[in-house]
Formats: sequence, structure tokens, C-alpha cells
Amino acid sequence: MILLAQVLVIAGLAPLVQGVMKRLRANLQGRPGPSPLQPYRDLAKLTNKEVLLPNGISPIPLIAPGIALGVAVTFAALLPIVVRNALGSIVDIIALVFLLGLGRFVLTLAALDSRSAFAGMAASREMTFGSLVEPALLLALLGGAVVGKGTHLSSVMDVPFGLAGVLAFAAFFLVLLAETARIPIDNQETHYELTMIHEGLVLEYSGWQLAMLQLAGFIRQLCFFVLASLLLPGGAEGWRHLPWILAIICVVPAVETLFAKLRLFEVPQLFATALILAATSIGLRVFGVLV
Amino acid sequence: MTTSLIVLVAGAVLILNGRAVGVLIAYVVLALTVAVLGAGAALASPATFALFAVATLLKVVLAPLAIGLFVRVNPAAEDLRPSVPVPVRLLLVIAFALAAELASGMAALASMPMLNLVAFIVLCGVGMLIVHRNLLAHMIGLLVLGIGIGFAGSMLAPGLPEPIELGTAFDALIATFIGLALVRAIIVHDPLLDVESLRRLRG
Amino acid sequence: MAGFARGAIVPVATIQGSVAALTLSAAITPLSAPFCALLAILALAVALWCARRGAAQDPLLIAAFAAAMLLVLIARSVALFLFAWEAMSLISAFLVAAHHERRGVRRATFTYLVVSQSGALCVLVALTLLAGAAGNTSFDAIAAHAPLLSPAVRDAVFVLALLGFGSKAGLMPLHFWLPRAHPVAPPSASAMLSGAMLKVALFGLLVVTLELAAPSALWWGIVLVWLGTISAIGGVLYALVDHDLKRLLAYHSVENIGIIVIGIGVALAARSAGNSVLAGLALLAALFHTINHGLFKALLFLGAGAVNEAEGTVDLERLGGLWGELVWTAPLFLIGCAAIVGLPPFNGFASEWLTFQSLIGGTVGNGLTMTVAFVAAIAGLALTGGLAAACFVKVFGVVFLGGSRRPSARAAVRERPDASTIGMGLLAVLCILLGVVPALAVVPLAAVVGGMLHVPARIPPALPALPLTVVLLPLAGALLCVMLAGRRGVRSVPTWTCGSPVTPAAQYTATAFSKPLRTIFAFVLFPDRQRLYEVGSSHWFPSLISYRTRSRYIVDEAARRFAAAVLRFARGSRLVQSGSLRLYVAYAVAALIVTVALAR
Repeated sequence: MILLAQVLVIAGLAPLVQGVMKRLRANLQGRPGPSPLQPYRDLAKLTNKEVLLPNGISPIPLIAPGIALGVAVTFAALLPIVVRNALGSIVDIIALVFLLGLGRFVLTLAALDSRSAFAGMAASREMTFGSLVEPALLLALLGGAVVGKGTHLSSVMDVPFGLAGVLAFAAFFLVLLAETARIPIDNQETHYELTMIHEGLVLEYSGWQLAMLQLAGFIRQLCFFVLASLLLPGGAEGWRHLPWILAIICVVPAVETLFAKLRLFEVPQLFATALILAATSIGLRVFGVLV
Repeated sequence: MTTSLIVLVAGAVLILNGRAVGVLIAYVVLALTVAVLGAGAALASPATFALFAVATLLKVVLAPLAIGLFVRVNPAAEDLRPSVPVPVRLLLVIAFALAAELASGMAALASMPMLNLVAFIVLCGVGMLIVHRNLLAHMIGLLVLGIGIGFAGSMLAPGLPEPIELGTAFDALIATFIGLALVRAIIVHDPLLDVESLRRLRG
Repeated sequence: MAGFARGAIVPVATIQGSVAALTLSAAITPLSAPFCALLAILALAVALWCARRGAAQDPLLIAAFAAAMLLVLIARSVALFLFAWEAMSLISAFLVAAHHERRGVRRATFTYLVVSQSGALCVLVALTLLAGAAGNTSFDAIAAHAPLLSPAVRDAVFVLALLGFGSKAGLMPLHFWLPRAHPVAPPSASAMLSGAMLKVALFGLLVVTLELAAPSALWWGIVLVWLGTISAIGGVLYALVDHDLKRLLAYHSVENIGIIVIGIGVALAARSAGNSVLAGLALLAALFHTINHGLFKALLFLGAGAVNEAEGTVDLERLGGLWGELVWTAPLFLIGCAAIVGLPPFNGFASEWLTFQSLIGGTVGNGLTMTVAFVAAIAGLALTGGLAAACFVKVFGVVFLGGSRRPSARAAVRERPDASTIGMGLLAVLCILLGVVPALAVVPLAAVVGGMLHVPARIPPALPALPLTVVLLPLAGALLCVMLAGRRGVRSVPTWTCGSPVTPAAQYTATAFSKPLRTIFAFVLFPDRQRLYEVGSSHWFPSLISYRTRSRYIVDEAARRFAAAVLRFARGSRLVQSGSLRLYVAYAVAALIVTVALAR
């Protein structure tokens, strides 16, 4: 029951978070910006529109939005916010990383099925960055697991914060920027297909399918923010970490405004930095230094 | 604990940052920290205190100010042009930190307190010489080396503050002003002050 | 099952030879049981493949190959093991050379034979060392004598076994025969080679390190973990930039062998550090991934064979849109792709999860070298997981999805299901079954591992329910989409290409898909490219642009130079066999004199 409420709250608040961040980013850039409730109106508008599918040859583009939404909702259900062991030991870090990989796999296959050059380009870039981000993502979350606390997601809260925590959070922040498609890796507000990565994958969708994909993206973004807040200090209970989300919601648009989008082949340097930071944090934790 | 963190972060910025302003700020922070740590011995007598004040003024205020003014006048020299990408520089900083920890375990220098900080500062100074290609970065690196060695001196011989302070003061003086004179002459040939281009100035 | 848990060995046959060294004895040990099971399943699937209409395979040779591998698995004396090993290598060489009239096949076979024989030589020396030290050629006697071996002999045996079995299994840097031999063999042979023979080589390594030279040193495990990580990353990188479907799959075999060897390395390292529980978990992960890899790799090779038969090529640049034609092979191939990438709920996920758990469990408290190796292995494993996903998105997306890239038009022929479909379907069903209910395989394997290490293996409690529960909601989402599409209707329209006509040339190619990764990893892959412009009337508007890119393999270069040196030496030593009778008599007299001199 609590789990259902958790999922519904996250799914309900996710578009609002996206709207607030868009508004903040616009304000920081000197523009008035859209209303924070605009994503809700967009989703409602999309559900009333007709769905057009490109002449794909397989049923994968048809079911891809459903699978992506399922992955995002599972991610929301797995977060140890209210109850630590709600689903028992299924809340597993490695399983989570592979689940996100499943979502990415299906979406990029659907993009290749659409025979569109832009979607193919976006699929290629998404898989490149997705694969380079996985080591840093896994190592940043394994801080608690390597010292014997198990691979349950709540193990990230079971270790003292210290320098290792700072480095792990820094690495996870870079991964978060990549997974939520933010500058300096990707630009959510670009209209040029040649610069799209995440937007390019959903280029061919319309109607309720596009609504599902957008909602899945919002939910994934909010879940990543919650996970990032779990990496910051706050105690052993998940909900005590939630105030950090407000800080993240303010910091990410600031990062988007202060930095420019990186050239495509300079982005792997960012991921290499994240990997080194995460590996150093694991090293510090294993040897008990400065923790 | 906090001093270690401050030194760690300042040293990391010295190597990771690619612009002169950031590196200058990190240098000032380092110089201030070292001055604070060494201030205890300097309060022995008015003479030592005067020397200490002069040296600190030179290191903390005049040198970075001079370099900063120079950069303001020649904005092309602000980019320090590091020769390796960020991840490699990050690995270098981590390697220096590990090496400093290893050095602090050496039995021969066991009498020196805060040996790991000294080693880290010296390594970061040398690291700047290796990583950055701008002549200004080399100057700042030499200044950091001077700070590190001065710090080592005040840790090893706390009873002899005068020669140490005198030495570091002149070190800073020479490094800054003669260095700037050289840079002014060289900037005519290469506005970017690239050390690699100096090889072409022979003959 | 209970017998295996006790470590019981089921003897099969023993033939006493006149010389003690030539005793042939065979028995089914707990360790060989999962390998025999895998061999049986693969043999069945490949037999079904060979039974289909119009197949020009040689089933007798494949049956002999399977029999030779079975003999290797159940051999319990040095003579039988070596005899079966050589038989396996030679029969597989014949299989690889099946299309010997084609270009490049003979060269590939020769490379394979050179590596295989060198490896067999190393294995021979290793086993002879062990038998000499124990005074008996039976494996049981050698295993009993194992704790009494001197460390020098033990280390030498390990290095020789690693060279011999590792090169046969395809560990980097001795893997270079794999991407040459597997693509030129017929698909049934490739399936058996990749699915079964590589595993038999790993079985040999396990027998030597766990039984015959028993208490292993710590550095063995660390070396195996590092070699496994390098193989995993290197294999998947070279697979990414390849666009020959079968060579790509061969490189993925290298990658997965790397993953299995990581598990074996963790087991050895943990055992020598005294942590038997962790060793059990790691060995369980390695054995489970062995079975899983055998299953899905065979499925993928058989699918590639079907593609080759339908289109006549395995070049990714000429394939496309086969989902509409190969209506039975395509979904099965998709299951194979999802399994090898490690997506839940397929079997690759369960075994990779177990490998991760064993790596994480050993990171702390075991010394610096082990920690560094394990953390590097975790990062490497995560990276290969991501890169493997990228590679198989490329493979499946380019081959089966989108539009056809055929240079000339051809009428589409819808595939008819036959025996080969049943064979592939059997493998796919097993992939799904072992993924959804991993306990089916994990519980017997835990009994095997417990019998071998004499400590009951602990299965992580999260495992049985994990794969299925994690994908419940995505599957529900997929169903929701289908329902909504049925109720509200979707319209299929041509892709929007900014107003120009939709041509298959507009879609992304395999080379283009992997280009960002090729550029990022250029420091390993050394790509070189050629661009040819054909200009017609004007220099600025070429009529045809041809783009070709190739990766130069640093390891291949080194191997090629080594092979050249060996050839030079061989050519030089040809002088010894001049064909002259008098010279041979002179050799015999000289040998006699030397023997007499040494015997004094």
C-alpha cells in the first residue's frame, strides 16, 4: 500500500519537477519561462492526439513506450524512501542498473526500426554515452556494498559520509546529468536534430505513446534526483534525505545555465572523470581512509 | 583535518584548473594556509616577526597581484593550456596524494610533522610544471615549490625562523619580478607564452 | 544430486594399458556434469539444425566432434585426456575447413591448427609434470598427490595450463584464432565450437587448478581476474567495430569467456585467501555463465546461419529488414541478443548478477592487489555490459529492423518453420527458463560446487525471485501499449525525411552506428579509413563516394610477427631433413654416441 502511494506520488510530482526546472532555467537566462504546470497540460494534450507510427517492420516501436514507462515506474517503486525493505532483497543496485539498460535497449531498437537517419544518430549516441556511464553509475552506488552492507539500494545510506561520500556524490551528479539529458551532455530544449540525443530517440512518436515516453522520462529524472539525495548525508531513513532534492532542483538548472554543451567527443572525458572519482571513493571506503 | 582538506583541494585546483585566475586563487589560499601554520614560530621576536610579515606580504599579496595585473594586460596569456585531458590530471592529483601519504611513512624524516602536506604541496608545484604549457603557470609552480620548501624548512627547524623567512622572501621576489621581466620579453614572440615555442628562440 | 554434493565420482570405464602411462580411465565427476549436460543440449539443437531440408552439413563429423568433447570431459587419466584433446582439435579443424575451396578458409584453418597444437603441447608438458611428480597418470592419484607438490612445479603447471587451455578458450591475448576460425566454419560447427569447445577448454583449466594442482596461489586468481577483464573489454570493443556478423559473434565469445574467467579467478583468489563461501559463489557464477553462454551463443550462431542462407551474406552493410522475412528466426535471435546483453529476465542477467556479487563480496579485507583487481573488474564488467548492449542494438537493429540495404532488389521469401527452428526454439526456451527460474540451474550447480570445494555453497536469497519481479511492470507496460493500440488504433505512415522520398539509404548503417565508439576508443583500435571519391563532370559534386574503415588489431600485429619468426625458424630447421640416407645414418650414429656418453 505504502509502495503504491510512493509510486503515485512520484509519478504525480515528476511533471511538476520538470516544469519547475524548466521555469528556473528560463528565469536564470533572463526569460519569463513557461508555467511549472505546463508539462501536465502537455501530457493531457498528447493523450488526445492520434498516434502515427513510422512504417516499422516489427512490433518493437509499438511496445517500446510501455516498456520504458514500466522501467521508470519500477525504478520509482524500488527507491527505499519510506520503507527500507519494502520489496525485500529485490531492491538491488545491480538489478537496477541492468533494468535501466533494458529500457535503453528497447528504445534504441525502436529508433533503428523507424528508418529515420536522425533517430539512428540519436540511438548511436545514446548507446555510446549510456555504455560509458554504466561503470561510473555502478561504482558510485556501490559505496556501501563494498564494505559488506549488501547490494540493497539502502546500503548507500548505511555508510558514513566523509570525503568518500563527497566523491561518490560528485561522480553520481555527473552521471545524473548524463542520464537526464542535461547540459553539458545533451540539451533538452534544442530543435536541431543533429544535436539531439535523448530527444532524437523519441522523434518519431506521437499521441499517447509520446505522452508515455515523456512521463517515463520525468519519472526517471525524479528517481535519479531521489537517488542522488540518498547519497548525501541525512541518516538511515530514506525520507530524511528528501530535502536535498530541493537543492538539486535548484542546482541543475544553474549548471545548465553556467556551462555550455560539450563537444561530442569531449563528453567521454567527463565520464572518465566520473569513473575516477567513483573508483577513488570506493578505494577510500575499502581502506577506511578519510571516511 | 580541515587543513589537510584545504591543502588537498587547493593543490588539486592548481593542477586541474586551466585558467590563470583560478590557479592564482588556489595559490593564495595555499600561501595563506602555510603562513598561518608557520606563524607560531615567527612570533619569537620582533625581528623575526618583521621578516615573517615581509615574506608573507611578498608571497601572498605582491606576487599574485603582479601576475594578476600582467594577465589583465595580456588576456591571451590567461589560458594555461594544459597538455593532458582532465581525467589524466585527476589521476595525477590522486597519485600525488597517495605518494604524499607514502612519504609520510618514511623513517628518515619521521621527526618532521605534517610531512604529507609538505610533500603534497611540493609535488603539486612540480606537477604544474609538468602539466601546463604556459610560462605563467611555470612561474606559479615555482612559487608553490618555494612555499612548500619554506614550509618544510619551518617544520624541520622551528628554532631558526630568520634564515627561512629571508630565504622564502627573496625566493618569491626573484621568481615573480625577474620572471615577469622575462615573460614581458618573450610575449613579443609568442602571445600564448607556450613553453614549447621557447625552443624555437635558440640562436 | 546428493552424490554430487558429497563429491562422488561416477566411474565409467577403465582400460589398463600394457604401459602404466597408457592407462585409459574415464569417469563422470561432479565438475564435468554441467559441461556434459550443456554438450548434450547443444548437440541436440545442432542435430535438429542439421536435419532440416537442404542442409549440406556433415552430421557425422559433428557427431564425432561431440563424442571427442565428451571423451575429454570424462577422461580421468593423462593418456585418455590428451588423446581426446587432440582428437577434438583435429576434428574441429576439419570442421573449420569445411568450405576449404573459399578464399581465406585455409589460412584460417592453419592459424587455428598452429595455436591449437601449441596449446596442446603446453597441456602435454603440464600434465606430464604432474604425472611425473605423482608417479601415476590417473587423475585421482595426481589429485591425491597435489598438496605435496613443490611451489615451483605448481606455478609452472599453472602457467602452462593457462597458456594451453587459455589459448583454446580464447582468452586475450591468445584469442586471435577465434575471429578467424569461427566465421569461416559452417553455422552448426560454429555453434559447437563457440558453445561447447571453448567451455571444454575452461573445464580443463578448472580441473588443473582446482584438482590436480590443488591449493592454488593467490596470484593465480589475480592474474585470471585481470586477463578476464582485459578479454571482456577487448572482445566487446573489437566486436563493436566489426560488421561481419559471425566474426562479431566470435569476438563476443571472447568477451564472455573473459567474464567466466573473472569468476574462476575470484574463486581461486578467494579460496587461497581462505574465504570458501565467496569461492563457492564465484565458482557458481562461473559455471552458470558457462552454461548460459553455451546456450545463447549457439542460438545466435544458428540464427546467423539462417540469415546467411536467406541473404547469402553476413555483411551487416548489406542486410536489413529481415524481421518480415525470417519470421521465426528473428524473435528467437532477439531472445539470444537480450540474453547475451544480460537483460532481465533472461539467463545472462542471472549469471552476470552472480559474478558481480562475487566480485563485490571480495573487495574488502583481502589485501591491496585483490582489491585493485576486483574494483577494476567491477568497472570493466559494467563497461562491457554497456558496450555489449550497444553492439547488439547495432546487430539486431541493422540486420532485422529497418529497411533492406540489399544492393539489388529481390523478392522476399517468408521463412517456413522446420527442424532448425525447433532447435533454435529449444535453446531460446532454455534461455528464458533459466532466466526466469534461475534456481533450476543454480541449485544443482550449488551441489556441484559444494562437492568440489567441500563447503556448502550459499545461493544469495535475492536471486530466485529477482529477474521476474524486476520486469513485471515493463511487461505490463508493453501489454498496455498493445491494448491501447487495439482500442484507439494507430496509423502507420512513411517516415518523415524532410520531404524527400524514403529510401533505405537514408537509415543509419552499422559503421555509422559504431563510429562514436570507434573514435573514442581509437587509442586501442587504431582505425584507419579510406574515402574514395568518384567525380563525374565537376570536381565539387562527386558521383560516388565510397567509405571503408578498418581496425588494425595491435594484438594481431604482435601475433603475426611471432608467427613470422616461428616460420623463419621452421624454414631454417628444414635443413635437418635433407632426404639423404647417409645423413640420416650419420644422425643415428651421433645420437648413439651421445646417449652412451650421457649414460656413463
